[in-house]
Amino acid sequence: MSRAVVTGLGCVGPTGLGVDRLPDAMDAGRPLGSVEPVGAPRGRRREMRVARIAPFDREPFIPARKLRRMDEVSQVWTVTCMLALADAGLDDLQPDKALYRPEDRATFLGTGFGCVAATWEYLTELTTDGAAMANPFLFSESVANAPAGHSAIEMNARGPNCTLTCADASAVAAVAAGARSIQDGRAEMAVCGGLELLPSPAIEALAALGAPGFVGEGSVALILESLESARSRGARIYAEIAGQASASDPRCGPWEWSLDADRMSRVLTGAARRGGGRSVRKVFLHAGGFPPAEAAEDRAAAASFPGVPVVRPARVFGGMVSAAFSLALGVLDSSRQAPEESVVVSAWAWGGGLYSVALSGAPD
Amino acid sequence: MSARVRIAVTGLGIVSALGRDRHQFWSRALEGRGGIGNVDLFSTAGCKSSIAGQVREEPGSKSDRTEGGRVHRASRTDRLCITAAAEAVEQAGLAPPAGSRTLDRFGVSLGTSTAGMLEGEQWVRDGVDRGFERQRVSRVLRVPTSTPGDAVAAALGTGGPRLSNMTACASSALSIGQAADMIRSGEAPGMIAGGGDALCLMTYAGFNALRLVDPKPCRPFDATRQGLSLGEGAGMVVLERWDHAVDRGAEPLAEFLDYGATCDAHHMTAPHPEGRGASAAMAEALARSGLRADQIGHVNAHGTGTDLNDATEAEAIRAVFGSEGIRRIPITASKSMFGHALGGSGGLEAVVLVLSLIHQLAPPTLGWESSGDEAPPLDIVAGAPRRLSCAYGMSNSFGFGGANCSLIFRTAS
Repeated sequence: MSRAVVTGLGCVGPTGLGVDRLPDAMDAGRPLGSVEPVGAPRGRRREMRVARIAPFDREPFIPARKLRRMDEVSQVWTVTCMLALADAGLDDLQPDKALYRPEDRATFLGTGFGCVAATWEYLTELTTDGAAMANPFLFSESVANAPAGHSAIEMNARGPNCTLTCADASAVAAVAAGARSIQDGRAEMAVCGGLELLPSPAIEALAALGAPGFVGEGSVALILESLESARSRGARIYAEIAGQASASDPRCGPWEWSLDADRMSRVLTGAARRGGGRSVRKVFLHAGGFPPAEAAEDRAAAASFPGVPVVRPARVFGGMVSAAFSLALGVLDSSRQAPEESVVVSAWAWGGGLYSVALSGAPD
Repeated sequence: MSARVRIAVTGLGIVSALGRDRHQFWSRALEGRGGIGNVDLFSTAGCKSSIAGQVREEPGSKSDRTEGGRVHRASRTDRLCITAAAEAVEQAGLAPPAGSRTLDRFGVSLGTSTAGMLEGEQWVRDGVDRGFERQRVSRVLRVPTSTPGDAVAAALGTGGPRLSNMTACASSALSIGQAADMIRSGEAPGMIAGGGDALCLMTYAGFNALRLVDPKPCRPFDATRQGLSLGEGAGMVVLERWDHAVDRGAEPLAEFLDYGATCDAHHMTAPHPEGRGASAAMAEALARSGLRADQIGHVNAHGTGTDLNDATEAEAIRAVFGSEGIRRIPITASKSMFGHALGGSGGLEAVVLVLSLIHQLAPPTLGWESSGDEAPPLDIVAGAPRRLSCAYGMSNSFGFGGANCSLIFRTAS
């Protein structure tokens, strides 16, 4: 079985393009970008705030003629992939220069909300104008795997392509699946990560459902390669995906997070154990903004890794998308650690899914 | 853990327009009965077609469970998936409460594409008619594509890994492959895997807008085919480590060998003209299963009935199995019986393939009369079931966004 290592990071978020400012945002305790108050959506007394992605020019990454055929979500994800490839030194995709064959490039995208803006627009048009006027472009862009399909076309990635939809833990589920594809030899290189954009219909729904007052948008992509391939090309290795574990709480309802600290603890320690029992130095908590679930998570982390520092990226980047930022921050943190040390990233999904990955420092 | 961990199929569940369970489905499939008829779930006004493979018997109950006085309303897709999963679990000898302890370690891997969209559409219609401020958002809790997997896990009490994917028409085939990966990596001893989708106007009107539907029941691979017929349903399998199944006294029905997953990276809604990604998925599945192409004795094709899809799949099958090889591989296109259940189709067709291997019978493809001048022609099973004599079968699923997945199963013996 191959070992999966992280060699590239891409990010489109409130801090702008790239991951450099993410630690600064954590230090500042705010996203360093646009935080938009969205008033008091219907049925909610207090305001919600949304950490929006910072505006950016897409044409340096995607030709204008192609941008016109992509929904916003696909544009953001594709640019994120391009940034990650460039960071890994794999952005030259010319057939005679690319390091990996198209067949060996995989895509695993995690998203809980998917293409909600296109879906909403398509559905309302369908309702008001009738089926005879259905817009084929909006229909194809409303499919949640459209971003992964578009990015695969741009990257000529002909390996496995999958869109994981595990609610607000989708990013971690996608990275775990991407690592598995490297470990099993299904791909030599995998672009994986998470993406959420929150247009007004999504915010309205979140508000009415009692979501936390602070939610965020963003997109994070990791480049995974086998350790052997990364070494052979002399790549900079940020971290290793050392272990992963998942479980679920069947008692959760459709808009509920698990309160089962014991199950959470099994997932946290499971990821660390599968990572070879390395010393855990930090835990990135989900902390999605639901006090009872956060309390359970705190108990689980304390029981699993007594005395180990915890961080809560959701407080800075907002709920719903925080798992993606936790991954980026966890990778950056691991890059400064020794191979025998690890950080654990946890993500708990509405509906009861529990996911965790352990990241360790670059192997010697 | 070794990648060569053997994986047993110990349970099958299927609900479709052709029947409410595997017994009803299989007897009707062998009789050559079709399940495609008029749609009454929503108005098809303005569409070229008015038919689909609609499940006539209301699946499951209106609510999936009641707890502490709260009733969690299940979507039609949830209910289809729960119904199929419950059947599979029962056949595997794991039905709660007796199987609850084992199920607490089992996971769910489920693929879907529409999830609760049927209910979401009604919410939007009501909102447009009466104002959205009057609509309760709790009615759209079941729209996200993660929810059918959550519903199955909640209904059966599975506490192991949970994975949901929405990879268009390859969703539930991928969910079966990924479930096997999780078992082989030691993350769970067993998984309930597959998927389902309910009909909804969004996809119905969308495929109409793309001019991909046939106003008559679809005729996959037939020379006169004019498009697909949409459908709905769910197909679920219980996968578990072979030794785990044997140790608890379960009888393996078949063995899941491996899968191939690829992407066309060509076009969002059209397949690669030479079936590049499709043939790569089949070749990958064969290679990872340690098989030669000539060892496959039956293919359950993706076979949607659209001109381009069937032509490229035929081209891909020829590329993998060779001009001579395809003459001895009977091919069934199950969508002719129950329509194209989109994200659920891979799960449905995996169940059909396993039933075919168990009974050594390939059910007929409905509506097929001739492949026309396609050369060399595929050996389409039509008119009557065909006796098989094979150990290995393949099921193909190809989707929007260029995602492809081929699964390979083997007889239990």
